[in-house]
Amino acid sequence: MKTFITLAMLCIVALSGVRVEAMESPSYSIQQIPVEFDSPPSGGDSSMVISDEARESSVVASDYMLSPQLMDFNANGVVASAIYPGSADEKAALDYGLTTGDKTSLLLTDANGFKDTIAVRVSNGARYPHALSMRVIDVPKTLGGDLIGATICNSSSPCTLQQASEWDGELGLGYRVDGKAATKDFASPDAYRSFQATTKLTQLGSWTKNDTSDPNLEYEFAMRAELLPSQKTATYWGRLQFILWPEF
Amino acid sequence: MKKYIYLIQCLLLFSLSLHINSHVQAENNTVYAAPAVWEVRMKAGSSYTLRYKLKSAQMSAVVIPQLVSFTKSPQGEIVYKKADPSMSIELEGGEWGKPLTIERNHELGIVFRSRASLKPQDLYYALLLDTGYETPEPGNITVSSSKRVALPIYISVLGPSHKLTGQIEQWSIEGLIGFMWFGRELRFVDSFSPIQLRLTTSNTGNHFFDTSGRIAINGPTKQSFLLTKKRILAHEHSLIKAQSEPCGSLSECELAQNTLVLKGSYIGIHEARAEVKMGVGNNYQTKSLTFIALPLYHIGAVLLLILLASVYILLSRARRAGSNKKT
Repeated sequence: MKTFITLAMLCIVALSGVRVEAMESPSYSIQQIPVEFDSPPSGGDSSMVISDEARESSVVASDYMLSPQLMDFNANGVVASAIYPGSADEKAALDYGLTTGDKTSLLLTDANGFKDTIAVRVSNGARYPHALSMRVIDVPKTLGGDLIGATICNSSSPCTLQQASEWDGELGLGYRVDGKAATKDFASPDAYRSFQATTKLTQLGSWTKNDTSDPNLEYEFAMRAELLPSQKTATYWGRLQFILWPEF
Repeated sequence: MKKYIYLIQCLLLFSLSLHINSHVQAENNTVYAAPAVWEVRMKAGSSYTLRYKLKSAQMSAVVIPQLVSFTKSPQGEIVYKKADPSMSIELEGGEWGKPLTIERNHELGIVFRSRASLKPQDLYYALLLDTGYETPEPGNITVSSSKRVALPIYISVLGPSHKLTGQIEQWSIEGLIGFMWFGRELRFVDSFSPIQLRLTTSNTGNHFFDTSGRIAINGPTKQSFLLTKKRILAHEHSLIKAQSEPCGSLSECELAQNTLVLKGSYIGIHEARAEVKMGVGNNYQTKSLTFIALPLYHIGAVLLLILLASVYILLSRARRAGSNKKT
């Protein structure tokens, strides 16, 4: 009986392994015939009405032209639409912006344990869908050009630009971001990414809702350094840029 | 008494000046702009001036205006590049790349002139408004920040006939086993594992369009999920996502690279129908797939146990029969 129970348990354990592999089975795709359709509206169409007459697209092949209102060119042959966040209310529209409030620099010193934060606030008008990104312009370095070096996290995998990892104190420089719409890689308070030079934009967070209930959308950007004793006495200067992009 | 009143007045003025200063400081290095997005459709050979209003919260602010072209990487990231020279572009109210002082309100104009020979196509530009860097305070490590507000401009140069072309490129489910059944592909999935659905669309035309729509699950469990509105640029392939709660853990975020992840106990035959609206009007593309949700791992475990039990019983019987023969 013991042998039987052992065998059964072994089978269950083995089966869980099979399950992980089985989920990686390739997906299949359905190719469709392209359809031609009407042009998008000027000003965006957020209404969502699903027609009962929606057909299987493989049979749709129409030759739609521009809708009449979009062909309503002015004398110069132009039709243009300005898109505001939410409404055409000028005040709300002019509120589309970005601020870091009273503090625009991060100062990492021995006194604050080489940790500092700044608040990045997306203004009221931009509570509509947007993405907030960051770009490292200059990695911190001394006037002589000495660098601190990229963070190596203490977890099994290194801190990369793509993925945040827990950081227990390896040498280097890292950043994290928190906030309602912050990238969820930073779910843990100890999750940091390496602060290093890259030509790519790094997305810190995104807001996909049309939500006016929240007066402000604020991200907290934090930096932390773990330094060698010799690095603690040197002075490093760096620059970064926060970028707001509308997605409505 | 007069001295006291004078002193109080001085104190009030001093505190007021402090308040004003702190407000200016608090709003420092800030830029607001409108409109956020311009969409322009123009005939080749025409011209148009886009007007922007800029505002500074304080008495004045300095921004550096730049114009770039942008595209999207296969991963959907915005990539800036040098402004496309297909158009003649002029700036009114400032100079490209030069600091511009905004005093409360400022108007900026960008004149786009299309060449008469320009073929029908889309040109995507972005007006970038960068704030400068302030002189930072010294620290061991000082990282100063600037802000960039990017304002996209979508320009479609139209020909005599204007057609938009798009399609659902992929509507698929991650399943364990799949086979054809009367011309329909069936996919088996485990009832208690996350069911991953993936929807991609492609724009094979020369002009951008927006997509919206929904995913309807029909069967013993009925559900409907709205698709997040998405702009598909010309010649772009894009993953469409359903509106769902943001992911929490890293493993959940990895699953979120799909259009939709169904969680719960689905049992039986279900149809997943994607209805994607492209552009204006009732231009829908729809596609369905069928999946059969069963507790496959549980069934597998039970079958394996039965098999093992049978083997065990057979071996026991064989051993018993062998010992009987010996005796």
